[in-house]
Amino acid sequence: MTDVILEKVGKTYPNGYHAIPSVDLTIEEGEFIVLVGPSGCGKSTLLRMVAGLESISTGELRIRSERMNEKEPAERDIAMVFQNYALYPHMSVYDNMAYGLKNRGMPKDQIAEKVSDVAAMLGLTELLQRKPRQLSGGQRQRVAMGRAMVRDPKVFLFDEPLSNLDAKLRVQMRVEIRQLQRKLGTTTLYVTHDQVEAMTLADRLVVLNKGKAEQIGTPMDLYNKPATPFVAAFIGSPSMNLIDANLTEQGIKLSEALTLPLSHQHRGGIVWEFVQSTWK
Amino acid sequence: MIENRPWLTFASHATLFTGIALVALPVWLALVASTHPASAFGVGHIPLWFGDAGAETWGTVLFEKAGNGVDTPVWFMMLNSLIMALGITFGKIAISLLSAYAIVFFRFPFRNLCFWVIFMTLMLPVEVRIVPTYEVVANLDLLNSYTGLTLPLIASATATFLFRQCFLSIPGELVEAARMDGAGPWRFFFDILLPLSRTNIAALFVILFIYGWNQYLWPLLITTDDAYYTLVMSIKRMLSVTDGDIAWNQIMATTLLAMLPPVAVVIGMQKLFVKGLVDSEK
Repeated sequence: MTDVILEKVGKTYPNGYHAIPSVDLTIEEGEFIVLVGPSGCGKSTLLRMVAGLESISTGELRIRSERMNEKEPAERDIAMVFQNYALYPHMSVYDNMAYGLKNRGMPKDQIAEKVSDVAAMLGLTELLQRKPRQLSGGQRQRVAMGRAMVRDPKVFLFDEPLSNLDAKLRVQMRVEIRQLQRKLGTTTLYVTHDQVEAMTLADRLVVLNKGKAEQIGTPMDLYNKPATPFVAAFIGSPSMNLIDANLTEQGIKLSEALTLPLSHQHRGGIVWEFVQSTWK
Repeated sequence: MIENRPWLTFASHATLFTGIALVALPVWLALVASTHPASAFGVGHIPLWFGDAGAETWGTVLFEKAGNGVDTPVWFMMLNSLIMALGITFGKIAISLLSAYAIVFFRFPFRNLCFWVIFMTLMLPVEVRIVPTYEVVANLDLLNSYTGLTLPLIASATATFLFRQCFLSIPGELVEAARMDGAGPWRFFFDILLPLSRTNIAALFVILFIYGWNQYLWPLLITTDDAYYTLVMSIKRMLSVTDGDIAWNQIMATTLLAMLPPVAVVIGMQKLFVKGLVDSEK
């Protein structure tokens, strides 16, 4: 079942800046989609448009086939984890997690049950009475996730949630996020600039460049069959070498002296042959 | 670095004690003067040690009448002062919180202009606009009333500016998180913004309470009825005796009593006050 549909979604700022020309994306239920791209490519903007924190200038956003363009963030049944966690500093961990439910008018005993369930799942039970400032970075990150999870939203949105953690914790949290997402089966949209994160987490990746989706596909697809030079150069570390060449009848002409014969249709093959001929 | 230089310790302590003595001397003199009978001041020198009329003077001033032409007792004027000071303080805080909230978090046309117009009123304290303000208050029939005492002093550019700075330091993600959590403008204001600016409110409370308590010119101008005399302005009335001796003992007692509430507020809220001005834990 399709869960989230972005149809020709675009964003133009009041000053005329065309941040996102047009993006089409269909997300299946339970899918983990990662938006990746260099900074300034519009990936956060796109996420915030889904969240309702930015208005959508053109196109349509549908969640469970319901048009969402004009809905307030709270009415979209989504939950977001922010880069700086955005925990309410004056509230205890419990209150932080309960606040959204309280605003929705859920009865107190039900809130308590939900929060303690989620806290147990994230290993936060001991910390429920603490204030955010008494927590470490990793614990804050968990609370931020807990706050998103208690609401049982249709869609999780993550905005570079791991970029404030140290390298070791980042890897650990990455695994944990993926496990939780599988367990809950919640559709997830995840923004990152870190390609390792993107490649390891995603069911499908969206590579964005200057507000355009360069390629949408599984990590292996993107790695093996990049659709554009941009994707080819962006994915992989160290990045792929790109060399200008002319396609002639004899083959691929790199220079006057060196022409590679055209033996395969496959682009991956060209790469392979080139590598072989340089090593000879 | 730990230093052990006895002379330095001695010198710094001596300086501090001299400072304390200088600052406290007038208060001490006032306290001593209030314990002598009124006749003690005619002879031309100031007593330095307590006399024996203290209990009588303080009792009269506090519960019967302040004296020197002011017939209301100090406790009653203290109550008036308190109503005025608290009215001004809470009014200022409430109004400036709301205006800062509007300026920082809402997008409306001429937002910046509004801010600068509010800011410009800094140049128009009561003393400058006293004649038109009096006119307005008189036309509204608010002379000799608590509303008349407080209302014209309530608008505050300083507090608005302070709260604006405080709100600007609240990260945008927090506002967005609250929106995602379904908090509307009022919920956000009461659940998030107020608790976060608690220490700033406390710091402003101290400053504004003292400001309100010390109001002198405005109450002097618009109250002619004993029932609305405030403590600070009564001291001025007590001094303007046309014939006969000025009862310095009663004036000193009244003055000291007038000092007590602000001192109590400062001491009581010292911790929060310092925190509100220094701390920015957000």
